[in-house]
Amino acid sequence: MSQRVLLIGWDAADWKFINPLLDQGLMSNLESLVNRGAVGNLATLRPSLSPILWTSIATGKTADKHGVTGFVEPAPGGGVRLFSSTSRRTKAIWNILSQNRLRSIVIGWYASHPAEPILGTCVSSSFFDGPPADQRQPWDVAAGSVHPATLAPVISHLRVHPAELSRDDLRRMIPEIDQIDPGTDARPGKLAEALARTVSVHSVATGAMEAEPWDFLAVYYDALDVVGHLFMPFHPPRHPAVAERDFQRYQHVMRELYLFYDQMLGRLLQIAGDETTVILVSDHGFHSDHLRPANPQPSESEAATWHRHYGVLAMRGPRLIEDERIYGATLLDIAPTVLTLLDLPVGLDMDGRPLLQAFSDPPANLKTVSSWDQQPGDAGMHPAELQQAETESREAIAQLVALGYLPAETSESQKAAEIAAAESKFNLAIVHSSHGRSEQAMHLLEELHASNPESPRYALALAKVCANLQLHPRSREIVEGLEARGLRSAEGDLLIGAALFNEGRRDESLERLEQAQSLYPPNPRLLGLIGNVRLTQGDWPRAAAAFGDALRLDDDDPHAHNGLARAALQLGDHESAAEHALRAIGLLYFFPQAHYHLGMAFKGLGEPDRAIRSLGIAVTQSPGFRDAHAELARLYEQQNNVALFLRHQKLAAGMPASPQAPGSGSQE
Amino acid sequence: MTPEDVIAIVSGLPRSGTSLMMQMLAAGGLPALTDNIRAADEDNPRGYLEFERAKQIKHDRDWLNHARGRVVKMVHLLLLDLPQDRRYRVIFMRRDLQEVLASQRRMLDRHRVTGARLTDEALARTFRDQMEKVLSWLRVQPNSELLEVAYGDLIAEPRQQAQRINRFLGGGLDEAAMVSAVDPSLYRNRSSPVRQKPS
Repeated sequence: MSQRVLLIGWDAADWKFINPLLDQGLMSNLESLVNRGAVGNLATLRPSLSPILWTSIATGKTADKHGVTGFVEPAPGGGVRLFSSTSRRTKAIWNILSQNRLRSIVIGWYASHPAEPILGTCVSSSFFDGPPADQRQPWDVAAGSVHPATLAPVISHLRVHPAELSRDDLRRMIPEIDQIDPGTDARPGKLAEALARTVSVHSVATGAMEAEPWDFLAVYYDALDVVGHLFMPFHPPRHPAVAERDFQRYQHVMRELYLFYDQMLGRLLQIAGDETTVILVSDHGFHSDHLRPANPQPSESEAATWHRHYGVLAMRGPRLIEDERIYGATLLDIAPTVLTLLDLPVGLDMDGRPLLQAFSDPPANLKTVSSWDQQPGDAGMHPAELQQAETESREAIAQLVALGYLPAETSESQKAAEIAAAESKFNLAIVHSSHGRSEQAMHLLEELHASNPESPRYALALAKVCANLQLHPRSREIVEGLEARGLRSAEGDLLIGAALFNEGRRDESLERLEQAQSLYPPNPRLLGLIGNVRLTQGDWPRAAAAFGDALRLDDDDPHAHNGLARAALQLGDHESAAEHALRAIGLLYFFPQAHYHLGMAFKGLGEPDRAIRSLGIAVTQSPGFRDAHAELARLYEQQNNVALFLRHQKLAAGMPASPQAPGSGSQE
Repeated sequence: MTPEDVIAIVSGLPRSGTSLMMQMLAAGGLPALTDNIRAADEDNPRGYLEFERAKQIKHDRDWLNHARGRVVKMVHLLLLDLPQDRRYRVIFMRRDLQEVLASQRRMLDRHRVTGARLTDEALARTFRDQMEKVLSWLRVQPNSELLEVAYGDLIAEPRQQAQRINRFLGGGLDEAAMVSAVDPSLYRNRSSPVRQKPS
C-alpha cells in the first residue's frame, strides 16, 4: 500500500491542558495516538500569529521567505484584506506534492484562499466564511474557494449554519444556557459560530477523505484558539478579574471543547486507517493556568500574550517509533518531515529539518534539493501573473482616483491599510530578530519607530533589538523616553536592567530589577534576568533561588533551567545540574550552553563518555565555544586520545573567552 | 420596462467619451443627474455632467431614488456595486486604449497629479481586464441591459449612433439634438485618422 500522511492542525492545542484530560481517560483517541507514536513539544515562532505560523508549518520556512506576515495586508482597491494564497511566495507541501504527481486534499488551511489548482482538492478557509444572518437565505460560496470548482455545489451543503446548533447542542459546554439572554450576552452565539465552523470543516474533511483518493491530507481547526480567546479566562481556577457568575456559566467550555475535538480525532483516525501516518500539531500553546495574562480581555495586539511558546506534536505511523518522546521540534520541521515520509527531497532552503529522531529506521541518506521553488513543473500554484495583476490593479485604481473618477480612500480604510502595512513590517522585524538577524530587524524597527513615535510596542521592540546588538545606551534612551511619557513597563525594566549591567553598573542593575519585581505581577523573565546577574556576580545560592522562583512560575522556560544548571554546577550539585540541563535541552535543543552544562554535570558525576558526547554537541552547535573545546581536550587527554586532545586544545587556544553576559534569555 | 422605471447609466473608462455621451443624451431630452461640482475645463469644455455621490455607491445608495428616468455617469468599476433591486440600461463607451491613456495622461499633467506607476502596456492590459470583467458580469445581470458604443463611431456616424442609442433607451429622445451635440473638433488625442474599433 502506498504511504499516506494525514496532517491535523489544532490551533492553540496545549499539552498542559490535554495531559490532565488524558490522565482522566477522557481523550481516548488522542491517547491512542500518544501511546502508539512519538510525542513532544512543538516550539512556536515569533511573532506568534496564526497566519504566519500555519504558513510556516506548510512551507518549512520563516515568514521573511514565505511572505505571509500577518492577518491582513493592504487590498488592491483600498482598505485591507486577509492574507491570501497569492501572498505566499514559496511552495507549500501540497504544491511540492502536486509537482510530483501526488494527490493532496487541503481543507480550511490558513491563508489558503483562493483555492490553489493543485493535483487533488483544495477548500480554502473562505469556503467556511460568511453564513447569512438569516439561515433561510442562501449561503453563497466565495468565488475561488473550492478547487476543482465543480466540487463546490457538492460540498456546500456540508456546511453547518450556527443557527442549526440548538441549546441542547451547547448545553454540555454551557449548562446554564437556558438562563442566558442572547440579546445581552453574545458569548454563546460566538461559541455557536466557532462550533458550527468546526463541524463544517470536519464534515468536508471526512467527506473528502472517504470520497477522493489522496496521498496527503491537511485539515485545520481553529476553534481551540478562537474559543480560547473568549472562554479561557473562565477556566478554573477563577481569575480575580472574572465575575463569579461568568465563571460559573462558562468554566466548562474549554474542557468540553477539547473532548469534542477528541471525538473528531477518532473519526479522522478511523477513516485514515493504521497504515496512514498521522501528524497532529498545534502552532502554539495557550495559557490556561496561573500564567494567563492579568487582563482577561486583552486588545487585539495583546491577544498573542495568551499564546504559550510550546504547542503539541504527536505522530504515529508505520515508519515511526512508538511510545517515544521527541525533543527540540519546531513548526519549521513539519514540512521537511512530511516530505521525508513521502520519500521526497527536502529543500535545503527550508529552515526546518525532518524529525529523523521519530523514525524507527531513518533514511541513511537524506534526499535534498537546493530549492523546490527552483524546480520546474506544475505545482498547482496560482500563476505569478495573478500576484502581479494585483499590484497593477492597485496602480490602475490609483490612476482612476487621481483622475477624480473613483473616491479617494476613506480615511478609515486608508488608516487600516497603513496599520496593516506597519504591522507586517513589525512582524517581519520580529522574525528577523528571533532568528539572530538583529541588524535587519533594527533597520525595520527604526523606520517604524520614526513614523510611529507614539507606539510603545514599536519602541520597546527597537530597544530590545538594540540590546541584542549591545547598543545599550540607545536601548536605554528609548526606554527612558517611554518612561518620561509615563509608560513604564516590565519589559522596559528588563531592558534597563540589562543595559545598566552591561555598562558595568551591576548594583544599579540589580536594584532596578528587584524594584521591578515589586511593581509587577511575578514575571519569570524578570526573575531569570536577576538570576543571570547573580551568576555573573558569583552569587550562586541567590542565582539558584531566582531561577527556582522563575521555574515555579513557568517550568517550561529553558533559559531558567539552564541558569539553574549552571548555578547547581557551581554549588557542586551535579545531579541537579544534569536534570535541569536536560530539561533545557528538551525544551530547546539548539542550546550550546545547556549542552555544555550537561557535559560538565556528566563530568562531575564521573561519566566521561556522556560528558564528551554532550560537549561535542555544544561545539557542533557553537564551533567557537572555547570553554567546551577546553573541557573536551581535558577529557580526551584523560582517555589518552592524543589526536583529539591536541585538536581541541589547539581550537581552544585560538579562541576568545566565552562571554557570560546576562540577557532576557531570548534572541528577540 | 418603461423609461420612468429605468436608471440610464453612461459608463466606461475615463476619457473614453462618457462626457460626450452624457451631453448627447441631455441634449436629446434625457435629464442628467448631475451636481456640477466639477466645472467644465480644457479637458471637457462642455462640462463633465457628473454626480459626485455616484462615486460612493458602495456605501450610499439613496441617491438612486432620484435617478429613475434620468441618466448618470459612473466609471466602469463602480457598476459592480449597483444594487440588484433596480433596473438599469448601461451605455458603455469603448475607445482605443492608446487614445484613452494619452488623454488621461494629459489630464493628469494638467492637474499636476501622479497617475499609475505602470508602463502604458501594463496599464492598458489592466484596464482591458477590468472592462472585460465588468462587461462579463453586466451581460449576465437579469436587471440590466447593455449597449456598447465606440467613441470613433459616435464621431464618424453620429446620426446612426443616435438612432441606435435612442432605440436602446426606449425611444422618445430628440435624435437631431443628440447629433448636434457631437462636435468633431473635440475629437482630440486621436491615434489615427481612420475610425478605430474599440480595443
